[in-house]
Amino acid sequence: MQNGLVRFFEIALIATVVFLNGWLIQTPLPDDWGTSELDKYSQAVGDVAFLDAYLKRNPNSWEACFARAQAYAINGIWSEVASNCDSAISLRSVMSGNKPEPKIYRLRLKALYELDDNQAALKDLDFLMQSENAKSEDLAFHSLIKRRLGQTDQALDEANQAIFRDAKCAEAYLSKAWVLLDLNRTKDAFENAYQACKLKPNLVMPYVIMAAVFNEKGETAEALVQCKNGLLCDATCGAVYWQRGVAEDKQQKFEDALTSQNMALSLATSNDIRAQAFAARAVTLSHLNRSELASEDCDRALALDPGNAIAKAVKQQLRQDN
Amino acid sequence: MKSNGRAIPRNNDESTFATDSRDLPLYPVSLLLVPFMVLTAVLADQVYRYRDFINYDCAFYLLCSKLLLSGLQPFEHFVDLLPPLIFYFSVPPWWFSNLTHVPIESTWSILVAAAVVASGLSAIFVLRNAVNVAVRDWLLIGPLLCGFMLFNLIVFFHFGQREHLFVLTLFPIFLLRWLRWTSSLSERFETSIPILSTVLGIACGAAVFVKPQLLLLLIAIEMSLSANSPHRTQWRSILPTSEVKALASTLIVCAICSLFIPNIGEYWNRWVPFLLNGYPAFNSPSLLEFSLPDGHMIGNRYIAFGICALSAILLKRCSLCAPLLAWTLSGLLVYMIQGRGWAYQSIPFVSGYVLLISVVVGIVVTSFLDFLGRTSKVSYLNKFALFYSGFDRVGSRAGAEPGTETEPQAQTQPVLTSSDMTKFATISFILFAAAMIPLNSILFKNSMVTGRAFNLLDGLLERETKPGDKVVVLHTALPHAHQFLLKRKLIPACRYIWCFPLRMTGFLRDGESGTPMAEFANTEENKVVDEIRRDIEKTQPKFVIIEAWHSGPTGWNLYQSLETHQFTKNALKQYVPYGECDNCAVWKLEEPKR
Repeated sequence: MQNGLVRFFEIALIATVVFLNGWLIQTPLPDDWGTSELDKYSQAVGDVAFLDAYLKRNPNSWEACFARAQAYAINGIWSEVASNCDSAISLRSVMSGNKPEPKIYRLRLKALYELDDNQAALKDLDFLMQSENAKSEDLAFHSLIKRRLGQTDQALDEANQAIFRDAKCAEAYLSKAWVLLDLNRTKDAFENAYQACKLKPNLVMPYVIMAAVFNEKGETAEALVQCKNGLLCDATCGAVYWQRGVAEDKQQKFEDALTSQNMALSLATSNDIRAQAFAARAVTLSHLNRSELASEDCDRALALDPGNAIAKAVKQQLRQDN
Repeated sequence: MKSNGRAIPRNNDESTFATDSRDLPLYPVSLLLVPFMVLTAVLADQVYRYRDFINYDCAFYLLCSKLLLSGLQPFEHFVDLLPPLIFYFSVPPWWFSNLTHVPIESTWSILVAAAVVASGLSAIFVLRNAVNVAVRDWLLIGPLLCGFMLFNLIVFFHFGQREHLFVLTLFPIFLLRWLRWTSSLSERFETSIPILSTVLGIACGAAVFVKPQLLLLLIAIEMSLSANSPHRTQWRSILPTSEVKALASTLIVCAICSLFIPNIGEYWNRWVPFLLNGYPAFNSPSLLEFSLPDGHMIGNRYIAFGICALSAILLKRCSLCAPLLAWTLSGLLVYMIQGRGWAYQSIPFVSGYVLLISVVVGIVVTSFLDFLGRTSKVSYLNKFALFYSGFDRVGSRAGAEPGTETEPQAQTQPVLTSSDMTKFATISFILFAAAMIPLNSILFKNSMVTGRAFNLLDGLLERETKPGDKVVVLHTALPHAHQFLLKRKLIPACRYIWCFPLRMTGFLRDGESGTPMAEFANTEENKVVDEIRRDIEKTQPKFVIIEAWHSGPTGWNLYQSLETHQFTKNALKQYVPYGECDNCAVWKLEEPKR
């Protein structure tokens, strides 16, 4: 009897220590080495994997949700960024006595902007503007969204305010450059884009704006150089292909231009770029005398952006030709 | 007291023995079975919790084997760089899945878990036939098996990878070879399950054939075992045993079978030269991080290398250290030779490392007990120290004929019961397992906590496709494409399910023109792009999705690379640009106008 008990205790002890090993080996602990040396993709993968496991054990941690959103943002998986920010915000709001955390709203609005969900992004921006934590970067985003929504004057005003607040905010110059480009003030647009580029060389959009200005001036070779620079920053940016197509169209390489506009459309994430690419493709198609297709593209562009001047002009031209 | 298969010298007391290695009882079965069952239960829980999870490469084999089952042929309808026999080996999981209606990804995990159990049970069976083992080796049998089971827990992100399956087949063979070279295998082994060694040899041979570079591990382990064996002069009888013969025969049979694989000429004539030249395109500059693209398993690598160095110091303390060090270092060598830095390629190294750690920790624990025994006045510990030091005496005359020196010395030795020895084994095992608890987090990482496949494109494909639809996903590093195609039952409609060749041609050209290599790369690239175009034209997939981000440090980009051949203009005539999704360019088949 006593031997049996001892044996049972012995086996239970063996099972317990072995189980503890098995259990602990699956428990996430902070990855304390080497991640800084990894490329950004591997780092983000490791972070997300770790946080997945961590959140299973700590489902109420808003910090972990936010950290996961940041990890997804490294690779531009914006839908995941937005949903993780949602979770972080709701978890934090449940915890009594905690004020809303601006950095979560800031990241979510960036994700929403990338996902072309302008109204939702505006809500987050309004929240940030009302709080005391608004930064120049927030104003710049506000300006960008207002521009997308066609409120050009307000957009310009906010971009100026953002620059006034922080003269080293690249996003502020970028938003101002966009608005000025819309207003056909190409020289000013170029200067602001150039400034943004100097402040943050890895931003792709300043290259797009500079290419657009060169295209306006008919300096297509220069425009193509800017497109090449832009693609080195971000090969998935449809807007770069849009301007490359415009330059190729001006060089009368219509087939190449058509390809570039198709690539722009295959990579477009927002309706403003989509509308511009459809309009630019309509121009090229009209040059190729494919009027019916050009007209269809004009309709698509106008459906996305009723104020698109190029689409209107091409449509008008096509009507006259017929 | 069970007999260990040899005649055991007995004293007057029926259950007392002198501390000669020949007199050791069989290693306590509870120290083998209890850890095995507990860790198998933990593994089963892991399999259940991650029942929807499947590794990208495993999903790739299964996708290709499904294409085989539907009558398609390798190198015509799907292409890979490694010997294509793996696709045929991946057919049986489909039979099980179809028979049981369990989803294929769960079937895969269950079958791999079954392989872990089979490997563990084979190892236990082999270890239960260990006789005449030196005391210090005998005490490490439990820690070694426990280490093997722990390894299977950290490897789950790569569960069923070729390297993992290789380790599962290698472990029992390793134990078998270790016992053969130390003349510690019971005669009973060959008679009780005579076919086991042959089966183990066949399994290991098949695993080696699908990744031939792993043969290096087998050679290194065998050389280490023979070099450290007192019986190395008897190699003529130790080498040609049933498992070795089975392994060699399996390699030959697999090679012959491969000759009958359809289009195998294409593999040897086109893809092997291409692979030899172009595979460095995927090389990583940071090999020793063991972490690309995801799912690393090594904890602090400096400690890891420190332990390997420590084991080199302990070589003479235990006959397991040298072969395990050979396993670890040859695993590292194979990993380095491949040059990718991908975490799963470090599996052979990591498995050796985990086993080595188990042995090193076991040695430290038993040495500690020995030290306590020598310095304290606790009689039980004194007994342990005497038991433990018996090794030196026996070890120093290893190879001597039994009976020549033992008899006179045995008279002066303390008498230990078999129950004492079993208790010593139990105590040292419990201490080993307790010591491993805090060390776990420093020494290992669970690959499920360091690896994650982002569910890219899931939303789009879920919304826009139905099972059975054809899609083309052209990618070189999209971590989720294969799994999603498999789970969603989508049909890959282009032979380049993994579009590796274009990255290789880009690497081979590397900005040069006119050189023979650049010419070769241009010719191959034109051919590959043309094949993709023809596949799309023929199969008319609903979506063509192309990876558009920069891959690798050179900034190479698949979409741009394809576009240098006017791909969208020539191959996607019937497609309309759909828009970007998860950094991929998406094209959709144009619906006919009404």
